Amino acid sequence: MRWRARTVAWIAVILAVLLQGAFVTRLGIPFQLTPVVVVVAAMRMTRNEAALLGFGAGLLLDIAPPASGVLGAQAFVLCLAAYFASANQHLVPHVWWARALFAAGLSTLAQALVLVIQLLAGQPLPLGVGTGMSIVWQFAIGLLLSLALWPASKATMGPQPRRRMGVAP
Amino acid sequence: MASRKRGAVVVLGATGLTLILLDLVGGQVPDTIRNVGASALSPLQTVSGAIAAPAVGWIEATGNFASGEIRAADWQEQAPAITQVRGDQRTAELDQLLGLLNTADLTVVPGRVVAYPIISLDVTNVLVDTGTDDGVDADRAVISGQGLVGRTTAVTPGTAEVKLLSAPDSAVGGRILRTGQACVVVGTGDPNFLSVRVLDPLADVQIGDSVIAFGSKDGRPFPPDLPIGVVSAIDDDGAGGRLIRLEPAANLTGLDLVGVIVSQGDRAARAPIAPEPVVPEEPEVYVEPIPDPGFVGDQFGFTGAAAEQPGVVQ
Repeated sequence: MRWRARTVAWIAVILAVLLQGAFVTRLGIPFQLTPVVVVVAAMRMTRNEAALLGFGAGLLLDIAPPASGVLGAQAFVLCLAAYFASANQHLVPHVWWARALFAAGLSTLAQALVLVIQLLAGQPLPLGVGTGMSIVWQFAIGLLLSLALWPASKATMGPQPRRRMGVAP
Repeated sequence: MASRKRGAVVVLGATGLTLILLDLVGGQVPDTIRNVGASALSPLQTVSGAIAAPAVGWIEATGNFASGEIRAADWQEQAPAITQVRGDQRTAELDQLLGLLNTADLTVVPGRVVAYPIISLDVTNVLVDTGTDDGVDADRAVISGQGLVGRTTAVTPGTAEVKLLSAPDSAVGGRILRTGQACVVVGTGDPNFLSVRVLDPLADVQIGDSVIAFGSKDGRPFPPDLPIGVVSAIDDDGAGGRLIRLEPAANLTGLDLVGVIVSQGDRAARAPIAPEPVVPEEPEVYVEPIPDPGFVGDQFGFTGAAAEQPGVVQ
């Protein structure tokens, strides 16, 4: 089961990276597909697995041609985002809307952090309405996508790992 | 226990930060990582781009109509025949491209755009499915049927990365067609407009003026006279100058069939041009006519046949 879950998560991430360049961006929508997939998958993984998945997904985004961002920025941010999602998933109520809000919000924050890194790195960034709208898009579509992904995530990855609370004497 | 749980994220986070610093410092390591990634992922991207192309084309084709009713009807008509729609569109694009090639006498390697940038908010570059195996190398102009698109940068055996005109660090020499004024076309990050810097700040520029490529040395990367765009707005830049906006001739967000220019038509051998030698004109010499005896009558006002007879005085 664990191996199946891992395989499904990695395939979903690779597909998300490929779909991002071949489909989503070509439609002119400023939306990042992969962070949402990573966060949803990370909520059903252990922390280390989630961090590894986030780092791998981010590295794919960083090096997939035509690469135009700061190398390592997505890997760094998605690693942290996936770890945070896995570590704090027990704080999120087990209801579909709360999980979707958490996934969409976290992926939006991750993309905002990537923009900050690009800005600090001196990359030209069109700060303005376009950037603001892209963050709104990221949250809105991320919310819908999280809702769509959640049943599939539950079905393929099984119950979420329980947090060890200690052993009673 | 907690340190073991955080061990992976600390190591991976540190790796990510190291990559960021390496990229900022520059050098060969980031480029090598990117090249390896490009070689490994390009085939996958080519396949995924080809698979996604009909769906993208369908959405783009049906999104170009203003009326919702027409659009809905068109969706119903086009849904079963996506391939036909894209085939027609590609035929039209190919016709335009061939027209441009014949006009400018260019040789191109055709290619299809298979990926747009994944993580950038800007539309700065695209990936086309032609590479060194097809005779394409870096610093070649890329055109669509409408005009100039950009130039190739990183090239792998099967793909080439194209920096678009809209990239913020893109600058192309141009010429305003109506007046011949030289200018520089600079990318803004927005694929819908470019910025124009006219070398003469007082030059006559009007909305609707076409801008064409100035042309690089030996036509590489940019051959001359390729359409770049049309001046769409002239605003005050707030510093006493003008902010000239240019609408690109090519649709940079809807690129599909493009051509990488691999050679320009045979250039005629150039002979040095010198001014023609000045030949000094011979000075006019006035020769005084020798008086003719027959003109005696004329001198005294005689006319008629008698005057024509020398020696006869009436």
